[in-house]
Amino acid sequence: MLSRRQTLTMLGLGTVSTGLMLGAGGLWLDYRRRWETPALAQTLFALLPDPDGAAALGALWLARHPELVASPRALPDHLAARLAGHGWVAAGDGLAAMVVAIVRDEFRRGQVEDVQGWRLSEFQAALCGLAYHMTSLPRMG
Amino acid sequence: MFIDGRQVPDGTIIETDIAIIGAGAAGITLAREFIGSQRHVTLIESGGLEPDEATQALYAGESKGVDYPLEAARLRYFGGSTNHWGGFCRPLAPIDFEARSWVPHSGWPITRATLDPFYARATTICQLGAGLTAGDFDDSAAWRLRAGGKSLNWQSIDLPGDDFVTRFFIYSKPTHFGEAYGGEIGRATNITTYLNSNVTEIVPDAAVQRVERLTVATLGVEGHPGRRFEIRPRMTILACGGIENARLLLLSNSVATEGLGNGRDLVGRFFMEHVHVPGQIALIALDARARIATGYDEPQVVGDAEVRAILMPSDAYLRREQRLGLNIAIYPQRPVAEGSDAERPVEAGVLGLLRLPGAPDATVAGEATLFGASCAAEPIPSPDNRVTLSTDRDALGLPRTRLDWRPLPVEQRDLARNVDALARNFGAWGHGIVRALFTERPDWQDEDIGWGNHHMGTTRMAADPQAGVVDADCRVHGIDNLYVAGSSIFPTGGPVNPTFTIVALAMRLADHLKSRKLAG
Repeated sequence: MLSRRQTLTMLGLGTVSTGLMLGAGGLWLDYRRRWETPALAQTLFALLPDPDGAAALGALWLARHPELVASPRALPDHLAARLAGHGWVAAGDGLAAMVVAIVRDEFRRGQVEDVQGWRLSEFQAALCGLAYHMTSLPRMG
Repeated sequence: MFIDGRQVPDGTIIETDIAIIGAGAAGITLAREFIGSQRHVTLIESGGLEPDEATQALYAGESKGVDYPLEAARLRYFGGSTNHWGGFCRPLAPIDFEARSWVPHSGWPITRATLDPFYARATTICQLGAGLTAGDFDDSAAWRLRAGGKSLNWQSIDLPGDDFVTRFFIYSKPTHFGEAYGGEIGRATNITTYLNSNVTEIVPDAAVQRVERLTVATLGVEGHPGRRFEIRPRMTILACGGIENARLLLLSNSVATEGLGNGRDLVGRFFMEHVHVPGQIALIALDARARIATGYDEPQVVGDAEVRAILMPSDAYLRREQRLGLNIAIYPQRPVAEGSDAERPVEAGVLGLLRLPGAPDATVAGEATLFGASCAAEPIPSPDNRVTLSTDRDALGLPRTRLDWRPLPVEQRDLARNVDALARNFGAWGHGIVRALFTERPDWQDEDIGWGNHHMGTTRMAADPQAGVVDADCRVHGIDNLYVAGSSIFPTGGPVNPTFTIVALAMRLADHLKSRKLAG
């Protein structure tokens, strides 16, 4: 089993990863005390069957979206806003189905991101970005 | 009867009703149609019954633009290029015959409906199976019915929307026309085939309204000079292939100095090839192998027919997006989990996205699988892609072919956008995520350009003599007794292999010729 760092290095993402951290300036180091991960983001993260794989995609995607690492809340807020735009009002059992519906709808509308050639829906890409965020957080406790 | 042209005495004059120049798919189909008729047919073939280097070398030429293998892309002996045919058969679609505002110079003077009965007849000569119709190439239900209740591993990919649809290639054995039909042509009492005989010029009358004679030359053998003789036909059909048809018309310039049928500088122009991108245009990660039936990745035998499914953009999509056509073959590569160390993490992420909880119908069996997608793309007819005569000469002393061909940037753009559309459709389906390997660029890169040995368009068909070399009956505009057969008459090439259409058009031409009185 490869460690996360080994995986990212293999992907040539070590630099990206470091860059993202530096790009976020001092904010990165403040995660432990400043970012209480929103419950919704935690719930979304829990949907991912392979968080490390998603994080690998997310690192690639975030490298082209510095605005989403400029603030620790930016990406969770971005995802929350997209869910709200589709009528999501509260966490619950329907979230997984809602995500699947959003993804299919985005593909239908052509709201697609290019991640190393892989054509992901915008929400899928953001979800992967979230995976990167979450797996990069300093471990608590 | 077969006669070796090298045995014909110099200066011989041969009279015949119908001369067919070239014994490939078109020429042999035409000749067969006249077996047993009252008309005498002379079939003239440059090569013998087997390939030989000296004859094949007559195909060598000069290529500009894409470095095109003029000699290897065609075969010059009895049976012609069917001797290396892959056997892929599929008719052009109705939309391929239409004048489309987004495809310059598009539009045939005939419709698909005109060709349907000939496509049905072509299934027999191409040995596709008994009782097939043109509609069978589009209808998956028909194949389930033909399976006669037996288990046919068949389930069309049910992509949402109507952008991409499942269509079919039906495979010829492949039929090598020389081997398959040489016996009956040889036995036919009204057909004489001259082998090793090269038509060097089609000579018209002084008014350039009728063909009077064909000059024929053979290559010299072991120090002996080649022979020269003449054929005087009442009707001539040029059937030498998509490049050589144009070359021979251009070489026929002793009376019409610009070349025969070339009064409007159209002969040789509008050359088309189907770009086959080497390798793959996309990878498709599927959550389960069984999402795509094996009928897509390998031919299925149904009765006496062999069928393979492909994906094609629907007519509705092509009209809405104003795109060029495409045929996409898909085939399994490997389980998603078995990529290289560099691929595995990202592909694991992709697989995770396919297996998010809440995905419908997540119970299909089989491991997650990566499929490859390859394609052949419809070309745009461009007057700048053309066959002309080189300053180099061949062993007969004739100017060689010069081919200028480079696919247009818009063809690159369209193909890349079609790949993106494929990705959107698989994504919306929910069971697949696509990695686009062919992406939009300002122009083609050399490594993106492969071809199918499909030579089309150089004597294009048009009702208006200002727009084409032959009319809707395949007759050269302005010349009463000269016809052209083969893919050189295609005004557009669609996205599928041309042989099946070549055969259908040759059968239609045969019917037309049978209905004509022979003058002279």
